[in-house]
Amino acid sequence: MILSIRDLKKAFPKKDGEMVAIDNFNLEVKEGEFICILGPSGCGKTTLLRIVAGLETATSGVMLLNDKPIVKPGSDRGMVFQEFALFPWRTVRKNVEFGLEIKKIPTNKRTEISQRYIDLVGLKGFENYHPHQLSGGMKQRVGIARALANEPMLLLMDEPFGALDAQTRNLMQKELLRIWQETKKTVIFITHSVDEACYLADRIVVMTSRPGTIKETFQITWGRPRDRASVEFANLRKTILAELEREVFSSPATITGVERD
Amino acid sequence: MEKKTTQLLAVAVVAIVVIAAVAIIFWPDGDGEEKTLYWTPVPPKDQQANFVSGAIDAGVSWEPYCSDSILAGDAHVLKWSGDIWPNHPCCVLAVKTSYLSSNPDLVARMTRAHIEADLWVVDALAHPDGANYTLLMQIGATFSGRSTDVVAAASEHIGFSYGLSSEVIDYLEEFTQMFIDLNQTSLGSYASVEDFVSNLLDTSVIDEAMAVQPSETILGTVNLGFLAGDLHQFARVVAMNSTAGGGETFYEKFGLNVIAVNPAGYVNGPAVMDAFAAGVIDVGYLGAPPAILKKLNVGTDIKVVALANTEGSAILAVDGIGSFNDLNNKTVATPGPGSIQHLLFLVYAKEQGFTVKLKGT
Amino acid sequence: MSGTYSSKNQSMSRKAVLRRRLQNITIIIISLTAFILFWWGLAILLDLQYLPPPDEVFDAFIKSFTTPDPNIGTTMDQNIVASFQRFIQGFALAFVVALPLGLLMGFVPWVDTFSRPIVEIFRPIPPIAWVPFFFVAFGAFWNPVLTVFIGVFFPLLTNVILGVRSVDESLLDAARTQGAGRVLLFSKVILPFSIPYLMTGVTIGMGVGWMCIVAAEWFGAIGGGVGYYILVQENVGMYPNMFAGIAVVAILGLLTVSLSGYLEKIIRRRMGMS
Repeated sequence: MILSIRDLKKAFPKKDGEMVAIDNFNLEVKEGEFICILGPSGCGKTTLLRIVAGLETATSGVMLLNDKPIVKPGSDRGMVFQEFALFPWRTVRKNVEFGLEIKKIPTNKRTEISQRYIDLVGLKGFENYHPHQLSGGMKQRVGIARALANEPMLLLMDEPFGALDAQTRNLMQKELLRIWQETKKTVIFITHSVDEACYLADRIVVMTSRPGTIKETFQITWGRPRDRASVEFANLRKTILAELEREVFSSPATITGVERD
Repeated sequence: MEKKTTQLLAVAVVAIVVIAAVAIIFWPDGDGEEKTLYWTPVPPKDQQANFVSGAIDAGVSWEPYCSDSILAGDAHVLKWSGDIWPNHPCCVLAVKTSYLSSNPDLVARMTRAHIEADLWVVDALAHPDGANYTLLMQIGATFSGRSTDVVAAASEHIGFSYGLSSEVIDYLEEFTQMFIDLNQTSLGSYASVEDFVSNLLDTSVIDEAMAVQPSETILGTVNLGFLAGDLHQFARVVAMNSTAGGGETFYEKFGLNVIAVNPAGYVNGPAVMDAFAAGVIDVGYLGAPPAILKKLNVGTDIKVVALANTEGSAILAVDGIGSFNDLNNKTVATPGPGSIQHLLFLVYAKEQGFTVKLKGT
Repeated sequence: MSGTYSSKNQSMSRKAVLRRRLQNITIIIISLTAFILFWWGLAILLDLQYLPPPDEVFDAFIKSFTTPDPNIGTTMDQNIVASFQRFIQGFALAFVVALPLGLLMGFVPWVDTFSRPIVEIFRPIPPIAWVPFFFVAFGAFWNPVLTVFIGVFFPLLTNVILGVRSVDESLLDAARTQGAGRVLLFSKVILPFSIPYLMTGVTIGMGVGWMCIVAAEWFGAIGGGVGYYILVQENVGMYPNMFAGIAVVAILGLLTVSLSGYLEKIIRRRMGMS
């Protein structure tokens, strides 16, 4: 399974002309890969993810999932949101079962599937809690379980740990890797944090500031778990950070822009 | 949200709707005892429409609304108020006691204008071929918004007299006693019904009024209140008409600048009494019962200085009701508690052996 | 087991909460007592027949329940039942119309564009203005029901529309990525989301409904009614009775609004949407 993005362009019409968020974007994602997309604020990475999810449409270019064009959102591309986006009136179980209900899967099969993923993300025992009773980390676990329950081809994650405190964040990174290794999903992970990208990714794609395109790609062949204290990790982080800083300080747009254009 | 909560909510919604439906359909309407009559409040101006729609079987109202329904064929008369209480007083001319004390001359002039107008009306009605009669009908039609036929019919059943005779005094005492018997009022500090009524009336004003001379100049301003659309107060309407007065209104003739504080008229007698209490009017036309009730219950200090009319009300019924006794278990519309029509209806129904209940009880 | 579990109500100990509640109740009692004393003083000072002191009103209040009113012939409990019937009927009607209309107006743009001018024309008209017309057009039974309906309809509608419009875009996005099409977005996300807003509308509507009752019963009081009672007592000049009637309406309004507010709170809590 491959996600194929070729010559993607996304422009938003503005009062005077248009604002190009993404231009000349080319990317091939292999099955089972964990890709991190890293970039300065306003570089269009969230827009890119939303186009892959089908929540927005590209202005021009090609985006194929297993040679089929992406036209609208669907449960084959599960998404995890920074603000969790859990349905507050539904319990943990009911949140996870949301997509299964839509697919009209019968009740007992639903329970079986949702229980499997609830256990997987480490929330066994919390099936009947409501989101407001959960901590941030727990909420995001639900978000991940909800996306995974549909057995999607892609797992799209939009700065999923951005709203969590540093300790929870580190914990969730470890948990995500565990879950990923068990489910063997293809993951596209958006982040601000160089450290996070280095810790998680097989491949790190560094985007330029607006209009966003690929500046640099880093292929990481290390195993996991990775040692943050190691010299190689520090070097990689330094290199990528330098790339990023050059981008950030070179473009006025990224200083004043917001993350999502 | 749990399925249970959705279900709970759905049940709640259904429950509300079901309760409403049950309330409409099944709520008890009344016992259906022997000879019971049900009254419901309907303003006289709306009674004709209710006759037509069948919402009511009978209705008590005052002219011109009686003649309205009769001439249109929507109802016929069961009883004129004069059949039950011959020559009974209805509307009166009242004045705030404090105003009377401080402006006796103006009040006398006011009363004189009223008397003159009243006599004019009586004279015009006595000569149906005369020009004054035609004028009177026109005035009435304009005032009430009804055709001259209706006004003519209505005028036949209203007695336009102004004097506070002993018969009038007796009736007022009877009314007061009826209200007391109904528990709707009590004498309070008055020693007796006679005591109250003699306090209510000031019979000297009429005498002073007759001694008054017309005046070229305006001697004072009077704030006047009256009822909307009430043909009982025909004298007042005429008094304000300069054509009938021969170039000036009857009030102006006697040197008065009369201001109609509420030009469209007050909605009912109690409202006129409220206007007295608020100090908004000095002189007012209203029914005797509201004057009695509010003077007793609230202590609004007014004096009745003249009569405006006698009779002029009726109990009407739709086709199929031949006599009052046919009204068993039927619905009768009245202007509501406090009015003379309501009192008339209550007293008469009781005399006929009926139990009277509010519709729906 | 990883992750932490936090509870919302940890800010105050149970004892402190109880003490605060007791304080509030005491202050409320003091406030009401002060009001009654002020009223009493004013009544004695001004000595007006139409401003009776609290004890006369209280006597009238009690008496109205035990003795049928000489003018209307009903006891106050009968009046309350009659008014309550109308209240529920008008309320149910408003609910049945406002809920679907509000959902459609919030969700389908052309429905909103079509309906809104009509709604906005009628909204500012006070219910009392309709009463004479309703009476003539619909009779003594429907007049009060429709008056309550008109009063309750608009707050209900507004709040339902608000609920639909307030749905977080991210919730809709999440639902879309779960495979929900337009219809399912409506039934599975927007509808449940707007329920607490609907309940707010209900609570507001309760208060408005009772305010309409007096106007509603001006021309239509089959079986009696608290509003009609107030009107008649004014007409015949029995002011202690009139104020007693006003007190009854106030109490009824308070009870229903509180009940609805409580229900709203429960629903919000159960739905995790406080």
